[in-house]
Amino acid sequence: MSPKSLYVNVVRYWSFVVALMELSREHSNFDYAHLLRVLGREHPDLKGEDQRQAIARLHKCGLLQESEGGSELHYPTLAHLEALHKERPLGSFGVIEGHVKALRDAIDELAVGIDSSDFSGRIAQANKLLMRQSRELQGQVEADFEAILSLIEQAKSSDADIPRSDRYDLVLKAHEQYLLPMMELISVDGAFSGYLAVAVERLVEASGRARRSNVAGRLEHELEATAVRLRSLPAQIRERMGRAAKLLRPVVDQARKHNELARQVALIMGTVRKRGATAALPAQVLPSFIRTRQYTLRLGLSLDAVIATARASEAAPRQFPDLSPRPSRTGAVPVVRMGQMLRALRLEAEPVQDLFAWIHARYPHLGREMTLNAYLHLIRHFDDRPGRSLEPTAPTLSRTLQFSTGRLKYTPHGLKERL
Amino acid sequence: MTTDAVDLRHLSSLTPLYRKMRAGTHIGRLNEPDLWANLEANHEDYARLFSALGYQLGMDPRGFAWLDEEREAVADESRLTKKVRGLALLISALLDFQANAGRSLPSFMSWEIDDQLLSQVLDTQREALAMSEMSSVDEMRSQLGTAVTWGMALNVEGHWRLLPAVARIIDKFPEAAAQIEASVGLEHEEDEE
Repeated sequence: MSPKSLYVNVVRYWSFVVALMELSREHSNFDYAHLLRVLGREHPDLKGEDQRQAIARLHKCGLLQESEGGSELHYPTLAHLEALHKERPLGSFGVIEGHVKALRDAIDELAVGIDSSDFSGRIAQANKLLMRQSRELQGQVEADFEAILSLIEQAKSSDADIPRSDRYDLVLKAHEQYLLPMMELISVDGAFSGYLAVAVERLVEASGRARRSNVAGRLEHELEATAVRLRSLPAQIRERMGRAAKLLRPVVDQARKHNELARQVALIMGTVRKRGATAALPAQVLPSFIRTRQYTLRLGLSLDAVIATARASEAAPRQFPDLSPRPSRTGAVPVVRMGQMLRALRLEAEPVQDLFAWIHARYPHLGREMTLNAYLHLIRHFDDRPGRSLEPTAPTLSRTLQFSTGRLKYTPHGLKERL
Repeated sequence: MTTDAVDLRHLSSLTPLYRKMRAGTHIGRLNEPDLWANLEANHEDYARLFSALGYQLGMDPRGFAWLDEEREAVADESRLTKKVRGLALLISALLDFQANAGRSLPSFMSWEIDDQLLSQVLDTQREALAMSEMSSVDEMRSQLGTAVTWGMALNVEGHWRLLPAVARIIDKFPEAAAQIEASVGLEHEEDEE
């Protein structure tokens, strides 16, 4: 068996080999048909003879070995793959607390050692404990950080084998039962930082005493090294956990949103069954939007008039014909002169509060569209004259006028002063 | 009105936008990318223009917009509300089914809604869906057709995908649930009295 050939074929048929590794938990070996099925599923590009050649190649390189009438994965490769795929469960916060307690015990031991100047005994022993515990704590934090990354990946994965809700539950558990207490513990003014500050002080004190007492130089340096390590430990853990929290936050938000929404829709559906759709989803909790062609004519004409006015289009006549009363003819468009309207406005005793309603009251023979047109031309007229302006009568107020051809809803605007 | 001049030269999509929005379509990045681009770039001008006509332009940062007006002005409210309620009920049923199947609800846009899924939803929520006259997959398909018209879904090669504008319905579920809980609380209080 050539290790190089083995490695090349592991890479070449990676998904097939991983699938066999997972199936090896349930099957001691695989018959030829089973191998073909798995290969077909994992490498759908391989057909017929290509499949047979692939399996022959895997046997030749030793990745597959004959076993009791079937084939099995090369055992060391299987063990290696399992190690690579080993799940990294998130440690309990209790494990972290255990390390912190061990650190505290070592700090207390150090204090007793300093009081009794027991350099070679208690101080040296406490120093070793502090160094070991700080390493273990840091190792545990690193492992937990990796486990949190795995949880995030799982929660985002499209793998349908594990229900998404289960993955969300794991994320929420990690956040609430691990990360939150951890962040509290390692906060700048938290208990952990306090313990370590005391430990650093005592280590420095012990180192000074060792120097003054001419204790062998190695202990003094070891105490100083431990002090340096403990001084930087809280910041390192805070950085790691801060990063974990930042990465976990969006997934936690999504998980909470999912759970809350799932609860709400279950409640709504239950209520629909018991009390009907109107009770569960009354009008006031439904979104509002225009959703009918009923308003097409009204808004369409208004909009077209606005566009025509803004573009100085010919669609809105600039010169109104003489409107001295004339017999009504089929197809005739009733209009009114601008000069007529301005003269009438000047004769008003008070500033007009609702110009649109004023036009309608004064010239009721104008239809809806021409009233609107006249209104828009008056607006344009005032726009061109400094000092004259139209202001909303009450910005939130809207009114509806009835015309023979339908209703029109508008926001009243009035003249600021008398003309 | 005099100082709120709108430069219509930039509003190149005004006509198609208005035509679609008045029919109830939510304009979004996914269903109307060109219209959305022009609307997003000039939303203030569009908002002022529609406001001058008594309408409100709703814009959601999740990438969709709609046109609204005051509710009391809406004629035949009950008929229109009934259609929205039907769609809200279908969305609620879909979400409930997918939650029970372990799928992520905030990822609703990634779901492929086909006849098979509709059939499963119908089987589990038959009684509730019948309350809004959805007793068959065809009627559910018709409801999704309405969602397509309103810019809340897309029909893609035989299946539907929900669009971000569905969030307008989903956003209302907390309020609906709170009202139900409040009414249940009141019933309990009355029972105790």
